[in-house]
Order: sequence, then C-alpha cells, then structure tokens
Amino acid sequence: MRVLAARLRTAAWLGWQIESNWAAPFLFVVYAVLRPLAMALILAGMYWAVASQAARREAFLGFYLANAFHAYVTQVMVGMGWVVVEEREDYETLKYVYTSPMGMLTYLGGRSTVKLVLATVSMVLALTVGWFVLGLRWDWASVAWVPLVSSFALGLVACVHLGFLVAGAAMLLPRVAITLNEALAVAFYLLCGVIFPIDLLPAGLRQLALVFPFTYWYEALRRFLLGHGASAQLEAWSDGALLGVLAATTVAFAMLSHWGYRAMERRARRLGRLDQTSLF
Amino acid sequence: MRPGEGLVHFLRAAYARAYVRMVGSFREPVWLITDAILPPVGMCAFVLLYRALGAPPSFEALAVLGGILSAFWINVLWGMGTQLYWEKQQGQLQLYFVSPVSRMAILTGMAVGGMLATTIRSLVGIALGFGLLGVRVPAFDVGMLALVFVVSMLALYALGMILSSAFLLFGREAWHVSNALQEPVYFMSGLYFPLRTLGASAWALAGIVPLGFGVDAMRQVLLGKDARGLAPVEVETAILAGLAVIFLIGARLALAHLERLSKQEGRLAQRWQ
Amino acid sequence: MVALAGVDVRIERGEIFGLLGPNGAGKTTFIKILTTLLFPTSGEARVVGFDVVRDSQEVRRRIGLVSGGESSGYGILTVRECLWMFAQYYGVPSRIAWPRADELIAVVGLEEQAHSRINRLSTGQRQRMNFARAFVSDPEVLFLDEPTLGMDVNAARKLREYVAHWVREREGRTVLLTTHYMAEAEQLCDRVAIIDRGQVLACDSTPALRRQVQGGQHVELEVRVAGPELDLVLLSGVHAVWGAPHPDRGTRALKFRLPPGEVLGEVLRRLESQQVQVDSVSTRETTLEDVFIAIVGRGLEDTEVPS
Repeated sequence: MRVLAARLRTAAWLGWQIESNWAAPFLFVVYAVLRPLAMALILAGMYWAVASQAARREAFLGFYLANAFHAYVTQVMVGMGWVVVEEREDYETLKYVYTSPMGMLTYLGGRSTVKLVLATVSMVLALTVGWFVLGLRWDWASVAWVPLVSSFALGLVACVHLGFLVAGAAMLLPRVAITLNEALAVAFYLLCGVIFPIDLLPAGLRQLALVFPFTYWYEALRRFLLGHGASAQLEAWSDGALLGVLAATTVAFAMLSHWGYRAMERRARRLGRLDQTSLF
Repeated sequence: MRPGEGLVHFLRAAYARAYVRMVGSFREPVWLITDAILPPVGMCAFVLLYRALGAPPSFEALAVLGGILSAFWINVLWGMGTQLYWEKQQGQLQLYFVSPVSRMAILTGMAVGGMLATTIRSLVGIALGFGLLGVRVPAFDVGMLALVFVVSMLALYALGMILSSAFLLFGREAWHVSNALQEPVYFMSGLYFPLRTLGASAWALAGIVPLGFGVDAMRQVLLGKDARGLAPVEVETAILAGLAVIFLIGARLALAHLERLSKQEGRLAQRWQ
Repeated sequence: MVALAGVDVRIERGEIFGLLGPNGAGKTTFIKILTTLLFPTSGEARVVGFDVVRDSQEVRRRIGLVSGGESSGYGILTVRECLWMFAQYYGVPSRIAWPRADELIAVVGLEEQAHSRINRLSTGQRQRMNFARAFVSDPEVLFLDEPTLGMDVNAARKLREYVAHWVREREGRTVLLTTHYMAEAEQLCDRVAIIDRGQVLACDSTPALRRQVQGGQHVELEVRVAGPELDLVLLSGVHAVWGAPHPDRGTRALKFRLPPGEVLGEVLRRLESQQVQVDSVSTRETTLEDVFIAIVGRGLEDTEVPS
C-alpha cells in the first residue's frame, strides 16, 4: 500500500508540474478558470436573451448547475485521454511510463487527482458567479445533503473509471485520440441532458441517454440540491430508485471500463501503438 | 525573381501545404467522424436548451447558425493559430524558415486545406439543425449571405494569421491562451444569443473578434428583425471588410517582426519553448 | 553564454568543408547563423555572396539543410509526396519535382517505401528521407549538421559517397559539414576547421593539419591498471589520453604522441612504477584525432585533463 501511495503521489506531483508548467501562474489560472466561466456566461446570455419571453427560471437554474458539474466529465474523464496524448505525442514518455513498475492505471489515477482539483475549482467558480453575479440561487435549507454527497461521490467514481476507458481508447487509436477526446466531451454534453431535459431528445437517443451514469448524476444533483430535476420522465422516479440506478450504472461502467481498458491496452501493445505519434 | 514568379511560387507553396490537410482528411476517414460529425452535436444541445426554455423558434435557428460558424473559429484557432507551434514541435518549422517559401503562403495553404473538414462540419451542422431537429428559417437572400460569409471569413482567417505569429514568440504560453479562447470568444461574439443582449458592451465585444459582426450580420440576412441585430447588415459588412484589410497587413508585419525576434533569441527551432 | 567567439572562416565554392568539434563546441550555432535561423550578435556572415541578415531570402533560395537525428515530416504523406511538397516550397515546378523526388528516393535506398506513409517508416528510414529532402531544390550550398548521426554504418557510408559525388558532379556546389566523427571528416572534407568552446582553433586541409603534429610516434598501448588512478603526464611533453575500454579483456587503450628523441622504454618504465601492466604496444600514422588531441588538449569524447 505504501508503494502504491508513493507512486500515486509521484504521478499527482508530475500532473501538477505539467498542468502549471511553461505558463505564468496568471495564465494558468486563466486557462483553468476562463473556459468553464465563459461556458457559464454563454448559457446565461442565452437565458437573458429569452428571459422576457419565457419564464423557466427554475429549469434554467438546473441546467446551469449541471453545466457546472460537467467540468468533472471534461477535466477528469476526457482529461485522462489527454494525459495519454500528451505523454505519447508531446513528451514521448508514454513508453517509459508503461514499461516502468508503476503501471499505467496507477499513473493515470495519480494524474487524475490534479484534474479533479481543477474541475472542482471550475465548478465552484461557476456556481459562485451564478450565485453572486447572475442571481441564480437556491434554498440551502431544502438541500438533501446525504443523497447529494452520495450522488456526487458516485459521479466522481464514474468520471475516473470512464476516464480509464478513454485513456485506453487514446492508447489504441493514436491518430484519432485528440479529436476523440473533444468529441466525447461534446457527446456526453448532449446525451446526458446537461442543459436540457433528456425528454427533448429523439426517441433513440433518449434510450441511449438512459444507459449512461451521468444522465442520472445530473438529475440527482439537481433534485437533491434544488429540490427538482429537469426530466419529466425521471421526475417520476423515487430518490432511492434514482440513486440506485446511478450506483448500478456507475458500477457497471466501472467494470466495463476496467475490462475495456485492459483489452485496448493489450491490443495497443500488440499493434505497437504505445510509442506511435500521429504526425499529421 | 521575374515578375509573376513570386505569385506562382506563393500559389505553389500554398497548394502544397493545403495538400497535406486535404489528403489527411481522406486518408484517415475516422477523422471525418470525430472532427466533422461529432462536434456539431454540441450545437444541438444549445438548440434544445432554447426549446427547453420555451424560446421562439428564431432562437433555435440562431443557435444552429452559431454552431455552424463555431467550426470556422475552431479552424482559425487550431488549424492556423496554433499550427506553426505544432510545426515547431514536430521539427518542421525550422525547415520552413530555412526555405524561401512565404510564411503567408504556408498559412494560406493551411487555411484553404482546413476548409474541407470545416465545410463538412458545417454541412453536418445544417443537416442536424435543419434536418434532425426541424429548425426552420424564412426565405432569405442567398447572394447577400454568401457575400457576408466570404468577408467574414477573410477577416477571421487574417486574424488567424496574426495568432500564428503569437505562437512563434510565446510558444506554449500562447497555446494555453488559445485553448482558453474558444468559449470566451463564443460568448463575446454572441455565437448562441443576440449580441444586443449584452447591452452597451456588445459593440466593444463584437469588435474584438470579427466573428461577432459576421455572426450578427449573417443572422440578420437569415432571420430579419427576429435576429435582433446590433447594426444594419451593410454597416457590419463594411466593418468586416475593413478589419480584413487591417488584419492581413497586420499579419504580414507580425510574422516578419516575430520571426526576427525569434531569431534574435534563438528560439525558433526549439521544441517546448 | 557565448556559443561562438570570433569565428573567422572562409569556405571556397566547390569545397567540402568540415567543422569538427565535441558536443557544445558551437557547430550547430554556426550552421544556424549561416542558414538564417539565428542572428549573430556581432560580425558578418555571407553565403554565396549574400548577407545572412540583410539578404536572408536570397540565401534561402540557394541552400539546403539536413540536421542529424531529424525525425520531422508529415506522417500522413508518403515519402514521395513529402519530397514533392518541399520542392514546392523552393519553387520547383511539379514536372521537375516528381522525377527529382524519384531519383533521390533511389539514391537513399527508399524505393520500396516511396509510397509508404512517413509515420510508418523506421527512424533510420525517416532520417534518409530527410537527407534526400535537402537535395530536392538542387541547392548551391548544402549544410549538413551531423547528417549521419544515429545511422547504421552502411547507410552512413552510402550517404557520404553520395555527398562526395554530388559536389563533384557540378561545379560550384559546396558543402559545410559538421560532425564529431573523425573518420567522416577525414574521408569527406577538403578542409577541416577544429572548433572547441566557440573558437576555431585550426583550419586547414587534413594533410596540412597532420603535418602540424607530425614528428615522433603515435603510440597506443593496451593497459591494465592495478594501482591508484594513473597520472596521465607520462613524461615531460607526453600527455596521454584514455581510449576505448575492452571489457572482455579487462584492459583499456592509452594513447599518446612520443616526441622525437624520446624513448618508449622510459614511458613503459614510468607506467610500470604506477602499477600499470602493458599488454600490447602499437604505433601508427598521425590521424585527425591526433591532431584534435594535440590542438584541443583532449579527445573528442574525453573530459578535460587537469593541468
């Protein structure tokens, strides 16, 4: 355990060095803060544009909230794919990490801790700006803390484990890894009902949305923090059912990710892709 | 060089650089899926947000147009702005600067070559927005739309050439800034909502990146009064034309100046600088 | 940090000029200035009569550059396409560029890989492709910055032969070669400049440089050191340097020049007193390496001998 902890610490330290390297602290903060904040402001701009003509403030609050938490999906889950891309393309050290006793999973896990911190900064910032600047507030007294914290934790577990899957895909598909990472973040943004209820999706996509843990994660966060969800379909579910399905899909995806990562890693090794740069 | 030889050389070099981009799109068809098809999916989320908020249908069309044009900004940012930085990382930049090729020719080739994927991405956006999601627009003046579009793209890509100079000098720091410039530019340009919503600051923000005026003008051509435009289309088109000229001149000066500075500091060929 | 200090060199049209020095001597900095990648902080440099600062565009039209260990290239292009593309950057029409690319591909032995994508080439193949790239514009001056670095022996030999042939093929073609391989400089170069710590310490043809340190014998001993660290000042005026170790025999080479009038026996007795066992003795002609050691004071790979 001590060896594992030491390795995780080393990987986390490296992650921090890389995330803040070659940039003045100011630029580093700008990079970590500006994008999620801008995204929040785009949503706010869209809401302001129609505020006089539509009065779905509570619904918008739910979308804004989910958008803030989506930072964990982009930073942690997709971020692990970026770790593989950077290690292989920029630093050309992936093969050395892979052949070291540390193991890729430990390494990725360590690197993801920094991304967790960055995502938390983005999330807190978005909610703070929403609260103080945009007037997007909720009643703290009606927050259901225990289910909220539980669902939050489950979502993080899903992010980290799906991140391993994304990292495996990045290892196996060097030529598409970069665009795949970006595309996945967008795909989950659409499919999991971040800024609209999944009820508005075409039937086939709606069924697909119900497969992913993030769909239930966003609903659970909205319900337990604001007192209501966004989807009429999921609104009918009890708290226990919602949490249960979130837990079940998280566990299922964690197992799938673990198996999928191993399979893709083995195939990448067989095909000699671990040190193959994309060179476009 | 004889008269005309310079232009021929320029076109030759631009074609050669564009060739790399175009060939890449066909040789790695999976890129078309991940680069051209999945990104417009994000646009659908904004359309559905307007639908969830009960907004008038013209707002949905507004979001579709924003999504289509975001593809061009991404091409400017990543296909041009950061490209010379990536060339440096790959070791190609040194070879360009040792050769007599015009840097503007290389950037022009990158821009033109990147247009293929960008165009496909736009067509997918149109198919998703107007097809799958059933967004509608009234009849509009196609010629005017084409004119505004071309002028906007000239100004935008000229800005991209200036951005590419910034990378030569600032290296990875500018890469971080560019990475941070996607969503903030969408906000400042009113890509997904009428710029007028931002009140008095709208004019200033629209002027920072030509995308703002371009989006606003094209929306007005498509949607008329429902676009809630900032200024008349003719005014915005004239501003864009002026910006295009200024940025093109600026790009040439910036490239020369920053190349000179890089050579003084010896950073031109060094990776990770 | 001073990379070059007071370098004053003239390279004649039609010659293969070598710049020999250890890592960090300033060879690459010198090439970067001449190929317009770097401004000199003082002084003047001209290539084919054009000033590298004021007339850089004219210089670029006439030069080609190969940097050793290069792995650049657009992976998505084939070898043939890559050479054609760079030819376009030099304004070579396609009707000339494609046949020239095919010729160069044959020269570097990549016929089978001509239509392979660059990202499928091995490192050595990519290096050979980059070597060919420098010739695609038919330059007047070719800058080769450690061009055979990391290449296998056969490939390196073929490239050197091609360089020599290329220069002789047409009048006026000139090559500046930087290397830290003595044999490469000796085989290829009409003149060699020895550079160390940014300064040119000697510049002449290889025979003339050898004559500078001729006289006496160049001795190489294979020794076994049993005692404490050996004092490399064997006699007054006889400074030895370590050569290659022979781990299978447990010995190491020790090299020195024995000035005229000195007797080898004295040296051997001195070594014996330091508990050094000499397994074999050989003498040979003066080489460029001897010249280098005599001028610089240490071998190309050696650390400095304390005075």
